[in-house]
Amino acid sequence: MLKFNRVSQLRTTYKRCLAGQSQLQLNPTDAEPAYPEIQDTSFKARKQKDAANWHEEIRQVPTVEEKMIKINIPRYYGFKVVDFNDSKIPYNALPLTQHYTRTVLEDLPSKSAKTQDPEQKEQPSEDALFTAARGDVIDALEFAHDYYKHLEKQPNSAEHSPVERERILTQIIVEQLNRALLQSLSEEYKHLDEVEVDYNPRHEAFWAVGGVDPPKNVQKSKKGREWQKEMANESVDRLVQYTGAPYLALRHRKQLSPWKTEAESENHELSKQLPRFKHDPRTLGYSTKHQHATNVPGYWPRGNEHNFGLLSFQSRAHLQLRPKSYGEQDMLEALHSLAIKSSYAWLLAQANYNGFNTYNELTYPMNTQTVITNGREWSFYEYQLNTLLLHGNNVDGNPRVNFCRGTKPLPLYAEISASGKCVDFNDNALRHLLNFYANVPSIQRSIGEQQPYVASNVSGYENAEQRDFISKTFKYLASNRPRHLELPEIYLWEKLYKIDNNNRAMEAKRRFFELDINPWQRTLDTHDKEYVPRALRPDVPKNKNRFKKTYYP
Amino acid sequence: MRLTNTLCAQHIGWHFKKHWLVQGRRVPKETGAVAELLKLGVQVKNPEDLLNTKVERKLVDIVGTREKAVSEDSSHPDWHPTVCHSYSDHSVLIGGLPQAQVLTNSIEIQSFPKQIEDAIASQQLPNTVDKSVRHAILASHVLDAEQVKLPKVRLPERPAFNLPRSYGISHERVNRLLVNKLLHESEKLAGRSVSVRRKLIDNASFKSSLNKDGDLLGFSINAEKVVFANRAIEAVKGKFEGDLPDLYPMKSTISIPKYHIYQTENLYPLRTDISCSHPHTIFTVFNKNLVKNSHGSEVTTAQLQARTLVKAFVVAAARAKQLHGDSVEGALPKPIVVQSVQTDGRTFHFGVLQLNTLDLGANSTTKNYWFHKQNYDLFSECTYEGGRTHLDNYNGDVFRIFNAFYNNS
Repeated sequence: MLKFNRVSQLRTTYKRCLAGQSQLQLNPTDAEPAYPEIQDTSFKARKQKDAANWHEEIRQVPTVEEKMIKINIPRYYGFKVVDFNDSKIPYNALPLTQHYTRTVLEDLPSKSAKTQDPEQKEQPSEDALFTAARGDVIDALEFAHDYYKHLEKQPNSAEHSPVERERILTQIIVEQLNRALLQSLSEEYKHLDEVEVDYNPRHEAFWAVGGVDPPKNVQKSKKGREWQKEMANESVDRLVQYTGAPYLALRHRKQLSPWKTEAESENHELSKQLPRFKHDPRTLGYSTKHQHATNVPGYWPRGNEHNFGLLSFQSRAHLQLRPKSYGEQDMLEALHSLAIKSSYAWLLAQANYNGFNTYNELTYPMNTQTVITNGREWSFYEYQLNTLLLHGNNVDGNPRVNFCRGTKPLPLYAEISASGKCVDFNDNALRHLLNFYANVPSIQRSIGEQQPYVASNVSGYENAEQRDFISKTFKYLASNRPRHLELPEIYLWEKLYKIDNNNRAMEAKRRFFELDINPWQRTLDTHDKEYVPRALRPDVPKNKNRFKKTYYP
Repeated sequence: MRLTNTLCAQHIGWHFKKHWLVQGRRVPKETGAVAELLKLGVQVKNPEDLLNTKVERKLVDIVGTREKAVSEDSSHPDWHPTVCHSYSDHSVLIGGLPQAQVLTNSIEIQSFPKQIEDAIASQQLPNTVDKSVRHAILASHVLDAEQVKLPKVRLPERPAFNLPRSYGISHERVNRLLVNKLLHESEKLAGRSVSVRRKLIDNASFKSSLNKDGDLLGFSINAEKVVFANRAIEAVKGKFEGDLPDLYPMKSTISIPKYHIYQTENLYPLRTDISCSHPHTIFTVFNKNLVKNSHGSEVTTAQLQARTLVKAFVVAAARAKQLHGDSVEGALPKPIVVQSVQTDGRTFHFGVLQLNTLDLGANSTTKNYWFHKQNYDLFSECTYEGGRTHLDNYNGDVFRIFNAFYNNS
């Protein structure tokens, strides 16, 4: 009886299923049955899908700070990153920089030819403005040199290296010139009244680059496994961390207008012609380090004030350290690559505060202007950021490219004479600089358009504990302070006596490599929770709420 | 074999060492051989002299990686037999403002000069200025992204407690940004007509030395920001009378460290023949971790105000000596006016010094004038807590005084 019942039950279920199916199939409006997409279950496809899911998860995270925490979650001890900084440019750095930033380099068209047509009428006032600014700039230059002479007389100035000396002098000149130009131009150009000036700000950016050959250890480990042998030579993403501190940076709440149209930026042919640097960046002289991913454009995220860069003044003092034998051409390329990487990194950090990152593509172009100077020689660059996607297959598949255009180093003056007067002032260089200041940022987007992936603001969260947790974790990651305990390490004697040769078989196995734990795989949220003393939770039973909640995204 | 107790019990090393000690103390027996040899006229030498002959070692002059430090004694090139009271950035006058007044021969006037008072009362500032200043405060105290290790924080109740070190914006940077941003606001308000007549520099050092009743005073100070003008500030109109405070039994040079090594040169950061070389305003930073009383107690308000006065005095004296030569003494042909502002990022102390005379002696008839008021707090608290910025009790008057100082000429 019981058996019969079960059989009849099964039969009815089967019939119901059939009925349902036939209903689906016999629906007259559908010409063809709607099958779900067939999933590729190969290892590579699954990996790619996981990555895409993770990128989508990052996109869904509501606030800028939480997005940054989310990117950092996979590594407790930080990522292994290529140390890209503004004070080291090895020989032949340009192809690598172009590959790592997906940048096309062009010459800066001379502004005078381009701007003459529409501004024909304004020419007289322009000239008056120029002569006023010229006077102010020469005055500021002479003043800066005069003051620097005094500084050199100080007893402790002999201790400074030539690089430090150049930095000190250039800092003075740049600050004086910036002040003079803001004064003389702000009456004509009202946007200069609203700029925010950052003095030696902290610029950091983190991104992932695809299309680079895998390092030796990855190759070896893959070759050791039968099923991964074929993938041993496939490229692995390199993580890049830029750190820099320009002399001065100007920010504004509006954006500069782009100088390349969307059609020009989305060019598959152009992207194919970009130089590729497949070798390990260490072959050029870059080093690697472990650190958390940080994106800092000089200030902490807060609302939408002055979020867009206008101009930054970069240092070239460290170029003195390059051997003369590198030659003139490489010097020029070094300047180009410094301009490219500093502009890209600053724009990326700004984009990050608008909710984009290396895994979530920009929805609008961003522009900035960069000046590299040592006080006398000035090079001027404009940069347009169109894409942030460089990881994985994007090196081949992404049609968009970024653009940089710049000048050769132009002398602003020949020398400062013994009497402190400026000799052979170069009006052309000053015109370039004036054009950068006079470039009016005009694009203002609605909040939804400007920050499409940012749903809310940390300061808007109701839960004070959550706000506190997020801001503290964010700052902690950004500070990159050393961990309280030492990093895990296999000592050399352990390698010899425990790993390579099993000489201590009787010893208790307590070290991570004996327990099959990879400490570098530890995620950011695997830690003991913070204990809340009982005095701080008076109204709940003593075994409740013993630990602080965490709010990892 | 492992070093166990059992092993050590069997080990004779210890016994061997003891034996060596005993044997090492043995005194050679007198055999009479020396006496016999001497009798035979044979010269007897001590074996020690033959075996361990003394070798005269030559001193080798090694070049080394760095220059040798010059010893700080009378062989030092800057050594002087007379002692100098050397006032530097970290010095604190223990007597506070009264001591500074006696030291600089200045009488205190508890208000600003009339032109500044008028300017404060009459200036028309747009409504947006408070918003910009608030933003400037937040941008320098909280929103800047520098993260360096900050000085240790000690809890007075638990002095041995080691708190986790916090990372944030350094005190120097907070003040640099704040002063720069406030100056930027003032310059925007003033427009090109005023700001073209001013020049700013960072970290200027000033040195000067003076005689006071037989004591040599040396001043060497650093001003974090200095505003120079193309014309000297007009002398304050009117005559002010007052007496110097009586410090008895204290001497006016107390708590200024005395050194024999010093230089008496006069140092002013700019030449006289460039357009903007007149001192206008100096901004100095007070960092309680660097400026301390020698006995460890906190710097008082009066001591802080004394610092503002002395710094202004040094700048004015250095300028006077630059203009009139090092030998200038007594009343100056034209008084020099220097405005001085001291801040720790939160508290501001404004003052104006009019240097009438370089004669600091007790019998000097002319006196210098020191105009100042009490300290002003720009705000009571500015923090970033729980993901939100807090700026409590913002005081708009401070920027109004600041602006009046900048525009004064």
